[in-house]
Amino acid sequence: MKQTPPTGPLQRADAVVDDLSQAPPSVGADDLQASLSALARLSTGKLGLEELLVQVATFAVQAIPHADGAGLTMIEHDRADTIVASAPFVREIDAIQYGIGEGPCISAVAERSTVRSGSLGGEPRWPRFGPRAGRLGVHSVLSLPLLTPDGVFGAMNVYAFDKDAFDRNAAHIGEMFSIPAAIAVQNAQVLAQTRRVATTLQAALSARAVIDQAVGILMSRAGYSADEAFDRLRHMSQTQNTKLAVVARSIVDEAVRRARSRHTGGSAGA
Amino acid sequence: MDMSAGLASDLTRLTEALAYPETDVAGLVRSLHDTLTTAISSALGLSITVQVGGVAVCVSTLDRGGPSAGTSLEVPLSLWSDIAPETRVVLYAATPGALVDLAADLGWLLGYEDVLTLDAHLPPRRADEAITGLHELSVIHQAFGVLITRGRSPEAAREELDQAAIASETTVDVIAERLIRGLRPANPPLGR
Repeated sequence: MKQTPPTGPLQRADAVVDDLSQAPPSVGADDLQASLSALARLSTGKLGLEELLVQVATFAVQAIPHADGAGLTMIEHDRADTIVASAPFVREIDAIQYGIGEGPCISAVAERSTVRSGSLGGEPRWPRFGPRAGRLGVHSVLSLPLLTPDGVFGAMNVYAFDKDAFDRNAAHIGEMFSIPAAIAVQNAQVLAQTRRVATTLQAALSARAVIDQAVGILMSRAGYSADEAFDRLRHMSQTQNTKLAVVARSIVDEAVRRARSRHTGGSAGA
Repeated sequence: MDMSAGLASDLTRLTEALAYPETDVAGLVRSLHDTLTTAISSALGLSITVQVGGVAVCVSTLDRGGPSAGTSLEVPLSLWSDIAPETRVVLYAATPGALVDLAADLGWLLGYEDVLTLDAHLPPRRADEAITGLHELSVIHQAFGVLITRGRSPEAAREELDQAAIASETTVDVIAERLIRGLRPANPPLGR
């Protein structure tokens, strides 16, 4: 059995910060360093997935020069699934692009590369999305795919009200930020889904235990086999238009009430 | 993920047990498996073990005929108060070392990196059933039902089965199975 070595997102983000400190000073480098450090301190133990994604989007706004808002979109089964935003206007803009199926995020995911525009109102790549974004006063966008070695699982969309807000340096900073952000987001997604599966299984197995008790009661009372007793329960559920678990619970509760009111006994037969 | 027919059938029955119909247990398990295999290119699947009334029920997405696991990572989930103690997930990948970075990241995110264990579950247990422990759980609770109709409270039924198991130097599910078989010979328990 091996214990895990100390190489987590903090170390990887710090490595990016180290790279930056070796490079010549550039616009936004300090903000990027601060945002990467904040990203590395995120803990799923205290935050839910959606809260964590909002934090990542907020750090992206701090890291990327001239950004006014950012959103994160997770792709599941080839469609946008979890969508979060650092500001309400981002949610509005993203709703437009996912509603019409056209926009910078969709292009970034399809091309698996950074997509940038400084004049959304007249952007020929998205003739339906661009003018609608422009009418909301949002003129610049930087969409960064969230990549794994095997593909893309989401995108980060960064918006600005000004025209031509994001230059090549901003795109470069965004790409540097998106690498550890992608890792943090994906790990948080693994944990969030694991937690949901565990709690759902727990609930389902507990409900199933009550159903099995009801099955045992019907077997004992009516001489059914287990499958016959289960079919009987299912039939009752359908005819009463009541969930199986609820029907089972009422049978068990009634049997327990009867058991408590009498003092006869058998044995487990062991 | 191509889920085996046995696993899909068992998970569908678990979905049926839930009082909230919008939840699809099979869909959630499939989604988690897919997220893992996207994050780790050589990932093979996972097993998740949940304790219910003293019975460990394990759901595994590993393909029994698939490649051998070269590494594993156990992640306890006891950090979250809505999850029963002893609940854990074990992730598997084909390439040795493939889960080292993920272990460090998850340890950091959860705030308990010293309790994540690598390679403690190799080779993965290969079971005949899609979900291990489910039959035992069913038969124990069916026996509770039988004893309740004989006048026991649920607590007394549990105690009686426990005592019978100790006296016979066997397990509670074996005693429960005997009780059920005694009702009607050769009746198959639920879920088999």
